[in-house]
Amino acid sequence: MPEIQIFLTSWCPYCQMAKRLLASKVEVWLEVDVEAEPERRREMIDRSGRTSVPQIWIGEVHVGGYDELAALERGGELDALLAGEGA
Amino acid sequence: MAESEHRRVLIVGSGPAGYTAAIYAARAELEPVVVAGLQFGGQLMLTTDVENYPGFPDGVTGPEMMELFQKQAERFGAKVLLEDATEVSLDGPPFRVKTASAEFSADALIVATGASAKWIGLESEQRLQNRGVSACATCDGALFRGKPMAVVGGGDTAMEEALFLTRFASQVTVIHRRDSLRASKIMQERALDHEKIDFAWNSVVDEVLGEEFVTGVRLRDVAGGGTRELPVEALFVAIGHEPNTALFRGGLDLDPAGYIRVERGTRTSVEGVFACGDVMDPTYRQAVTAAGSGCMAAIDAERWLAEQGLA
Repeated sequence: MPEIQIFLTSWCPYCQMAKRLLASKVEVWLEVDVEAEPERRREMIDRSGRTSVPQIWIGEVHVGGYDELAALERGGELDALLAGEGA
Repeated sequence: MAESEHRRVLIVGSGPAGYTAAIYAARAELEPVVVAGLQFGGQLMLTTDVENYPGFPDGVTGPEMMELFQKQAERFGAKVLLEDATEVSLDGPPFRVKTASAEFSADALIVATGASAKWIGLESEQRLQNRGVSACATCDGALFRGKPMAVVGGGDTAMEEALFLTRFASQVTVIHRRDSLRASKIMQERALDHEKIDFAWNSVVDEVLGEEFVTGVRLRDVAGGGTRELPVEALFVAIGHEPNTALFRGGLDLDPAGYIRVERGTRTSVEGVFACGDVMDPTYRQAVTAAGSGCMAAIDAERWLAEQGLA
């Protein structure tokens, strides 16, 4: 199974929603709190080209934020990606 | 597609209206299903502090409150499904609702799909979304610590966002098209008195500036027409909401702004379909009024089902 990374902040409701959706499917992911670790905010922006949280990676695939994660789920593609079968 | 599951009451939406309808319908032993959607919890999920909902003298955060609503609905037997309704057929009863993994039919349908934040509608706003342009201060505010930020809007949401952002921002500018606010008095006073908040009155955002990330906004004076640039690294848009009625266009009577028309309580133009919360309320749009109308919709639905001999 690919490693799942979420860059987030503790305030962020979309981060909570993303975690809740992931929790319905997998048990483990890696969280990076960019508020607690401001130096990793730069890393997130460099890797994603975005300043918003959450930013989610499944393996090497940059999913984006919650809207994109939810769109994958809507389209029925999230399970395959989590199983390591995605693009 | 799984076989269609039949329920007496199906609720689409999971804000205070949807969950209150679910609590009442569940206690009436109508065994409701709540199609909560991937935006479960509705707009309160994006609200930091709810200070005006009776029963919480010390306030409560929006997400905490929605978790309590959901628990209360589930305690009485409501089933909550974390998927979007993708298709609705109002040719009933029974009414039909499809989601990604399920299909339901229901004798009565309660629509509580709420409203979503509006955007200004600029190309530059869209291009820089998630690159400094956001509709969610609680999400992205902390990422701009020590930087100047701006909020567009003059209502309670805009004031709440501006006040929240003062925790992080060096300065927050509220951009408003008029020369006075429509926010509630208490929120106005807090914002007007705050040393980190200033106001760009009679101003609209003409353009969001920045190549890769937001570097500023160009403001246009609505009276004089002159423009000026305001350097900010983040722009939060809080200019109001529009009802989530795309699924019901052509099926239910809507007003010109897209809100579902109701009469005699929560009855829509289709018998057996009831609407509650922000999706039918262009006027009050509060958590407590949404919850109140959710209760009304459940009672209206229960009585209607009894009249039809379906309860």
